[in-house]
Amino acid sequence: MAGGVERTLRRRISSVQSTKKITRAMELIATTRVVKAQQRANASRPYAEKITQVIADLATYGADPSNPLFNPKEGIKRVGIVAISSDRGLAGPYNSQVIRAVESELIDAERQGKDYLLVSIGKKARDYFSFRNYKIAKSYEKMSDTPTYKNAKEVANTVKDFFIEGEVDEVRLIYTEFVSLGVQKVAVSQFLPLAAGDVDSAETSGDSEHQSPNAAFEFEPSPEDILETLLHRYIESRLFSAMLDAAASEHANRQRAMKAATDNAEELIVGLTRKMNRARQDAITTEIMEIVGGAEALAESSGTVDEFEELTV
Amino acid sequence: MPLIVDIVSPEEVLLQDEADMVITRSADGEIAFLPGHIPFIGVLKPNTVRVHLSNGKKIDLDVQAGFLEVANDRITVLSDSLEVSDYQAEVHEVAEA
Repeated sequence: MAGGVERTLRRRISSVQSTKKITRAMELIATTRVVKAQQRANASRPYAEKITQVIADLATYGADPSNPLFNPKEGIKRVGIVAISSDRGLAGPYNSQVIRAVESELIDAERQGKDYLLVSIGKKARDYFSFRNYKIAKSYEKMSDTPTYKNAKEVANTVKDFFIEGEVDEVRLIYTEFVSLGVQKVAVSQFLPLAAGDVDSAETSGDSEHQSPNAAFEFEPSPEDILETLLHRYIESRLFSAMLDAAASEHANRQRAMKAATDNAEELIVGLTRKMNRARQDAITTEIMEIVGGAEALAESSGTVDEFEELTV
Repeated sequence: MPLIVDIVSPEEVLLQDEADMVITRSADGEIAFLPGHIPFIGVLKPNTVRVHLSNGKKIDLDVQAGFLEVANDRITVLSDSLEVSDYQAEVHEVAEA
């Protein structure tokens, strides 16, 4: 029966409508969270800038940068990879982009005869790589959404330990860089050993109000000891800012994906409504035809043909 | 010319203000900074950083670890273990007497 088509369409429309409500809600939530994540990223910037400033000052005024964290190693046997993904999906291409970049790094390492050590942040990366039998040295969860400095410290300590104990010879960080609200791109950056250039370039791009003093610094304790502790904080702060960037990117991606889903649902509803109306109209037309046909047949058999003929012609 | 004090944690800038004096404890012991101090970089011991603001207020901040840089009358305290909880509440007027 034609009425059945109408009913199934009506049911589909209401299901699409409730999906739309959900995606709309997710979009709104993501929108506020992008803003929040961006604010957090901005608030964390002064610390990162100041710390690079102090390291630059230390380097210029005494400390000799022979720290193990600085020195690149010869003959890299094992590459450490830190991948920042999210715990939850429905964020468009956010996770798959990171995962693809990580996988190509892993394949590259293998092709060059190097071993790898994978540290994953976020459920999505963990699920993907454990399902494909990659070995994951350590995985972290429940920190990618709103990372705290404590989270960054925890991860950074693990990674630093791997590096210092010689488990890995270099560490690469793969995360999604938040360029702007509309643009986020996957970034692969050298995390350890620290490149001397990192600090130098940060000095020139750092805050402009800071002028390095003319007189030499007084150090308490020795410059080397200060540098040693300072570098650890610097590594943590770099990971922290990467995590904040990734969180902002995640929310921006989710917002965009949910916006597309909402728009799509809207379009679907319009299409389905049109179809439903047509089905209803068809049903009505058929019904009228049936009545008319029936009446005609009735009239023919009872002999009052003329009246009905006038009506139908 | 007063000192400019920045107290910065990894998550936010906690304080940026002018001060007459900052007292803290670095690796070699208690140390106070007045305007015109020579450039200094130090590691902080667990202590309370006492900031005497130019407007007469005094701020105490508990620090577990961190760094302090002094250059050109600008003091920067960097710490990832600042006792943030109620530092605002500890802002108190210096006794008038």
